[in-house]
Amino acid sequence: MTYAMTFATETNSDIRGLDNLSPKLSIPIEIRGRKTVLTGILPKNEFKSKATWQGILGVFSKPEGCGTIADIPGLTDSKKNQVRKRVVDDLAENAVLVGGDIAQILGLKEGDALDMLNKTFRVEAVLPMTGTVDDNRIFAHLHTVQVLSNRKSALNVIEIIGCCSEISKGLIQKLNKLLPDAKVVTITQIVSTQINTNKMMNNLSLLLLIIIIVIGGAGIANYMFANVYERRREIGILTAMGAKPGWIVKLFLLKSLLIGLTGGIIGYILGTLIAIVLGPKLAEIPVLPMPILAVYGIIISVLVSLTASIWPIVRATKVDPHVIMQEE
Amino acid sequence: MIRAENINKVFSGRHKNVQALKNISLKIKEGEFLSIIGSSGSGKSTLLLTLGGMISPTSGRVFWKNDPIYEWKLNKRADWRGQTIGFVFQTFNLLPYLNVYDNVQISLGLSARNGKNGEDVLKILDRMGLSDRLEHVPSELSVGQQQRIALARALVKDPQLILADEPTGNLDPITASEIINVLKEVNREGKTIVLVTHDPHLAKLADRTIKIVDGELCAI
Repeated sequence: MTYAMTFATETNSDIRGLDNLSPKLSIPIEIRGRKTVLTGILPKNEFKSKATWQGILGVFSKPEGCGTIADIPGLTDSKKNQVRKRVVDDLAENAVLVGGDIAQILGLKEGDALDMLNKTFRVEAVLPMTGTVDDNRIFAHLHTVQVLSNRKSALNVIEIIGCCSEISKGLIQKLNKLLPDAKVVTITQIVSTQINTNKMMNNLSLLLLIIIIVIGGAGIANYMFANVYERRREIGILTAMGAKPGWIVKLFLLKSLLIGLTGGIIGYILGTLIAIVLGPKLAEIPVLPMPILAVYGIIISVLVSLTASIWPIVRATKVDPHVIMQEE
Repeated sequence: MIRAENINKVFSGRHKNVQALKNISLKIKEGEFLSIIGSSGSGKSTLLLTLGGMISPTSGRVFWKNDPIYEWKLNKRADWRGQTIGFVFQTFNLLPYLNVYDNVQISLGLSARNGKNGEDVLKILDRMGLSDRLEHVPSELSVGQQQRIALARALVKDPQLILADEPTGNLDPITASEIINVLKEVNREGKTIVLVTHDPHLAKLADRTIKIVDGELCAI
């Protein structure tokens, strides 16, 4: 009997179209000084719901209902049906699956021992990168996590795969009615929320970038104005010796270019170092250097520096020659 | 050689306009040593800068060999200034971060070189008695030596016209007479000199003296 069938039976409901249920209990833990999340899962259900996990441990899932299976390179449909999958029905009490990122950070590989919550576990497998929060999680059997956290029978999430036809017939409303204390949300809603959050963060980042560029540009403009003022006598002397306005412009443009280049390079190095150090501490996200950002950073800082210097440089070509006649 | 025709120069101020030059007409012959005297603020320096192509007059024209210089494009005027005019200032106006040699050499770097090169820099510095000070920066030298560097900088490109604004104003009498002697020597070699000063005794050393009072020219 599947978990979905058990659910339907035990809740005494007439809900149809539940293809798979993946109950979970997640608890925060700390391993070797690093905060992460331990998630209790029912392996068979979890593997069935996660296409990206299929294929590890030689685990293949047979399509059931309207669920999908992952495309595994080199495996034809006929072979998929022939292979009577070595399905991991259960994770041993001391076995864990480790997300790709956290495995990289902790240096874990298949077969390693891992101590947490006063218990030693064995790394059954390192999960493939999914680009989701799962990459930073450790997975153990649901019952093991419930026992270790003293929260017997507790769950905080149930992921449900529903058949499309039944969803359109009101599966969500039925689940809402059945579980009044739970919040039932569809993947579409979650994705939509995530997209909105990402949009908001992008807009916020853009706003921050504009503010930084404006402040940086104003700083450079101010510096260049001060520099032109300080050097007005020098500009006058050079002009008296035959320097053309274009030569004066080139001189200050070169200075502005060097400021932009230096700022871009130092900014990239400092920004990357800060992100590498603070990223894991504040956002629990490992950060790797991105050399392409150096190119963007240098281009932007040079453009900002040159733009901010235009007006001061124009002023440099209009220095009053009387300044060279005055006492210092 | 150089001729000013009905020059007026008005500086616009926040509260009122100031007329620095009033209808000045002036002709300077080739090889002439002309001194311009006048009190502080009379318009001497403005006239010198106007003759040197640095400040365009509000009205009137300045001719170089019958060619009106303020009708030229900026770059042509800069080239002409670099090639033809040697400025000498009261405050020397040397570049403090350059050594003696470079302070003179930069003048060649910025102007049409008139066929001059590094050897000419060494020659002129030797003539000014500064051969043993090539690596020194201006702050390591006396004011007399600094003015000699400034003179070398003006002379190295072999200009036809030297415009000197109070070149002895910051010097003791002995050093001042040395500088004047150099100017007279250069004049004897055929250079045209315009010397701005407020010292009537110094002005008498020139072939001709003109006086400016409140921006107006008064013949002496």
